Amino acid sequence: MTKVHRAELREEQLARFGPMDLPFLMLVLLLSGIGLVMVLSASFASSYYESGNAIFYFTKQAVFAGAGIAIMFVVSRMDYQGFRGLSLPVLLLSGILMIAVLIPGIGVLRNDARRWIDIKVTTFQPSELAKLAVILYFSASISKAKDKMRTFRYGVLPYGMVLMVIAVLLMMEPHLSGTILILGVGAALLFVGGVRLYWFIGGGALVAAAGYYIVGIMGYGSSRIELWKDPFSDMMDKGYQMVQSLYAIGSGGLLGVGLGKSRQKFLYLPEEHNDFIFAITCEELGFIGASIILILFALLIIRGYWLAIHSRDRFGSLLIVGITTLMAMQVFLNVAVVSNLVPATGISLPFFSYGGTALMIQLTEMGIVLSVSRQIPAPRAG
Amino acid sequence: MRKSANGKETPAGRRANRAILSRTLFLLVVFGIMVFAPLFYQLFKLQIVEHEKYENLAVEQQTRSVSVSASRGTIYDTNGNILAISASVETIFISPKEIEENKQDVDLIAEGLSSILGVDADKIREKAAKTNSQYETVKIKVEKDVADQVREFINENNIKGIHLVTDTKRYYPYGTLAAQVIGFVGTENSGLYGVEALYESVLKGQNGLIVTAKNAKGTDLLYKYEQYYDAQNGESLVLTLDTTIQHYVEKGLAEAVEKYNVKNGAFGIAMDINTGAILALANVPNYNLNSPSTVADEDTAAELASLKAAGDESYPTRLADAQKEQWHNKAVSYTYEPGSTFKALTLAMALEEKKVSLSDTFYCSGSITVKGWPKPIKCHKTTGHGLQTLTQAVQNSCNVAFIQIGLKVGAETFYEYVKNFGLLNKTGVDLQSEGGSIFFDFNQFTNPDNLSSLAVASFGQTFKVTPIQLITAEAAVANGGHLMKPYVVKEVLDSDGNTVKTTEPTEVRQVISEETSATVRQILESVVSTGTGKNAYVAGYRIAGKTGTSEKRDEDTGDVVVSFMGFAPADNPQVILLIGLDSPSRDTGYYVSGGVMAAPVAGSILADILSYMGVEPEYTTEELSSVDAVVPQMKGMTLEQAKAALNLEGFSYRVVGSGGTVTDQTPAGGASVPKSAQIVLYMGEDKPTALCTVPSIKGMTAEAANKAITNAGLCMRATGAIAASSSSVSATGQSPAAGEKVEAGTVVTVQFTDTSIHD
Repeated sequence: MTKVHRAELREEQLARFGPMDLPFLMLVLLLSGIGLVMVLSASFASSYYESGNAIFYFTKQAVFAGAGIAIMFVVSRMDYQGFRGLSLPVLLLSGILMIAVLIPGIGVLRNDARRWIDIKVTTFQPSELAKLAVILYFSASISKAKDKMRTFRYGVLPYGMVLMVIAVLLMMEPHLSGTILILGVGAALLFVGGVRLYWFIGGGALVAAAGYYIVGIMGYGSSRIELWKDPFSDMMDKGYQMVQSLYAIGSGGLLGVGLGKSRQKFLYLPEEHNDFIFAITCEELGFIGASIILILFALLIIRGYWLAIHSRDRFGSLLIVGITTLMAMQVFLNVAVVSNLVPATGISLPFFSYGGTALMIQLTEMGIVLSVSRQIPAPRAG
Repeated sequence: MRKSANGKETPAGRRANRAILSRTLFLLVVFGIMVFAPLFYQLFKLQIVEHEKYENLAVEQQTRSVSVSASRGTIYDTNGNILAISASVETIFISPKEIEENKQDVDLIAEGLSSILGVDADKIREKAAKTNSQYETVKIKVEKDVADQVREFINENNIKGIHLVTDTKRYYPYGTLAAQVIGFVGTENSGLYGVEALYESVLKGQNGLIVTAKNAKGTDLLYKYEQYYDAQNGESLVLTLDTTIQHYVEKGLAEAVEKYNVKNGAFGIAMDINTGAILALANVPNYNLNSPSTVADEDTAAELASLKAAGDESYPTRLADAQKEQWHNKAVSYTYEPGSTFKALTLAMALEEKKVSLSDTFYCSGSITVKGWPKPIKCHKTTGHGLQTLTQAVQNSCNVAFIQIGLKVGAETFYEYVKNFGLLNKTGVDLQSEGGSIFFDFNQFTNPDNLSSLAVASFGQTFKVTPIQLITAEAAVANGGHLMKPYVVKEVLDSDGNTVKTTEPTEVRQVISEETSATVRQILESVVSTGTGKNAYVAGYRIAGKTGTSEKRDEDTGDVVVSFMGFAPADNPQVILLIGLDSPSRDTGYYVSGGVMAAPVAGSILADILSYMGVEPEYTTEELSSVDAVVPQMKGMTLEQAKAALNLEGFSYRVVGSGGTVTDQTPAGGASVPKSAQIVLYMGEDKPTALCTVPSIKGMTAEAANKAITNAGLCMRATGAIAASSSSVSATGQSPAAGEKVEAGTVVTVQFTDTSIHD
């Protein structure tokens, strides 16, 4: 034990007991709270009609939220340095699960896609775990690679391979939105990790070409483009959900119809407490309310990147960048889909959309960010 | 990072840290700020810019609105009798979709509804086969008792898929009465004709609405969301029409049309002469407001039925024409040449302008030549009326004299009066489709080199007016010179019966003075007492009037419109009546003229009206002999006592039997019979129980008719031209009809007509 090592230990201990970032925590709790209220409001009708219990979904979600927040606090108290060792096993596990989900009997088929594994209590999406796995693995790996990130062999090839495998597995489910998110997060981490910029231009072109090709071959999503351009062209069938979403958002106006008073949630808008919960939020809270929520998300994202910049080490920075970018992409894509800014794809809104495992994983991720934040050294006086 | 980078980090690590720092900052800007811009833009576009569009679309799908129909206002006559009223009825419809979903017995439904509603069962089956439909009407406007039977049928058989909804139906309790005035409503309960259409906005009210939010399955939301917009019931109308007077006029017209075989229908207007309030306005042909599309005229209906049976192509147009014909309100929209009835106006203007006086005389040689017209203009009496006073000229309805009077008035003044009498403008009566008159161009009329227009206009030919225009002008002549705006709606009542609006009589202008009017009244009274209008004479009522027979110069049919304008009482007029018969047949044995055909009808209508209005009859000494008296009750009296009682009333008598006391009498005591009647006293002998047969007295003189009727054991009451002892006066009508069996002592009313009257 050297003097240096002892000093380092003390420093680490100090850091471990340092305060977590309060603004970030408050934003997370605030958004979780609002999200929970919106789940209550949005699911009220469908919950009643489906189960006879109007707060069935809410109760379930509240339990998951409570558990998630508890996990978040537990994780925030962990030393994130320990996650480095977990990164590879988690990645492998998620890889196995992603293969397993493709096997009929294990994977549950819904809407022509096999994305879920039934674990009795609830269903679970391996892709959710894969996102976290990619963040953990890439962060751990990139933080060690340092300068090597500038090379193709060490900086691009291995990560590209991992992403490619995951993308292929996800597209076999198929799961377009999951693929987009994971590729996006991976790209963001590589970008921050120092990969030369021209790889992004090339990689972007490659992904675009592959995407175009896959879309062309599978026919999956091509009609989405048509519906995106004019959802009213098939408003009774394929465009129905989009049209109903637009009705909900549009009828909200400036101030909204009032919390709990949405009419579109009365079985008009499918997935109203799920992917399309933000449409109901817009209807009930209006442009003002929706804007406040978007601003809270923006603040959370900005605070996240700010924490990344100030993190104690590269691993912490990259973890936060991955988690924050993932969240930012989800917020953007969800709101953009719901408001028909981009073609429809199923992306849930963090903290809002109904879904226990997703919420718990998000809160776990927030716990990781908070854990990293605890080790940020206090700024020197002066 | 800053701290941990200190000392420990390699240069490569530092470079990596710098990359993380700058590139994370880049991501912060992109994901923390930039990506939110399009989101805000999109939300702003949807929620603020296009808010209304989406809100409307959303509300449309989210709500179900149920209309609450306002009840339509009632139409009353002047005495509060209901002319038109709305009542609840029901529409019965089936939901073929529901019937199929619930696997209902279609045959049972079809047969059941068919037997209750009288709808063809196969038609119901046809409708039930449209299984995509939720709403197929089986029958509309079903009355409550029938609807109840349907309900019972549904309950008994536990049927799903038959529904009833409430609607309203318009009822017209008087059926045909004043049909063209009242008008009717369509299936949507909005007025199509008459007052119903003209006052649609008043009667209609405002439908209410219940807006209920529904979920996507169409059921109510978990919480109640309802908005009510109350129905505003329609206001009611009180018309100036009097159902009794309307009935008199319609009855009179119908009888005349029948009697004289009038081809093109008839019109009649009775008006309160001092206010312009229309008391009756009638047309023949008529129709039943409760089934306005049914052609009421039997001959036309039969003809149409045969056309339809033969599958004739012209059927639809012919039907439409016939319907239009009966819906047509001739009394306000028809224009015709007023003929001699107009002479009252010529007389009034000449007297007002002091161009003539009662002492003036006019010579009629049978024709007269006027400047600008090559041929002499003939009087209807081609041998000439000779020398006449002004009054006689009017009594004779002498065209030559009136040409002279017209020429004295002068074209410009004449034209001015025509205008002031309102004949150049519509009257503005609140009735649909009022027609406008056709009169001469001012310059042509006042051309000093051609007086022919003025000459013929003086006796009411070669220009056209509507009946409503003419009666309004004639009323002004008789009522002291006040041209009143005619009207049919007296009051508007709100749904609680409070008066919202009252129509005040509107005087358009005073055309002639009170004095002139009084003089004209006096002269026109003499027209009825001794002149061409004597067939309108009714004992006890001072009727004044003017007859008219107007040629139809624009047709080559030779048809005429015979008319009579009369008002009463002559010294203090209350009511004015104008009737016209369009194209009476020349083959009925009656001389075709207003004096022969229209005057008797008008006289009896006026008498009925006056009696109904409570105008006390005033009899002249001469008339007193023929007025009614009450037969005294004489049973048990001695002959002496009976004689005294009869003398007191002025009855003559004859005795049957030779007993000491009166055992029976004919007519019975208490009966009101003309004083000319002979009372039969039975002294011990039984009164014959056999009924008497009414003799035919057609064509008889008054004396002969009375004898025939008395001999039959009946009493005669004479009306019409009985005051004139002319050999051309003869009986033209009787009631009861000849051959009828009636009780002894029954009064037979006989219409006497001077059949020689030309006017």
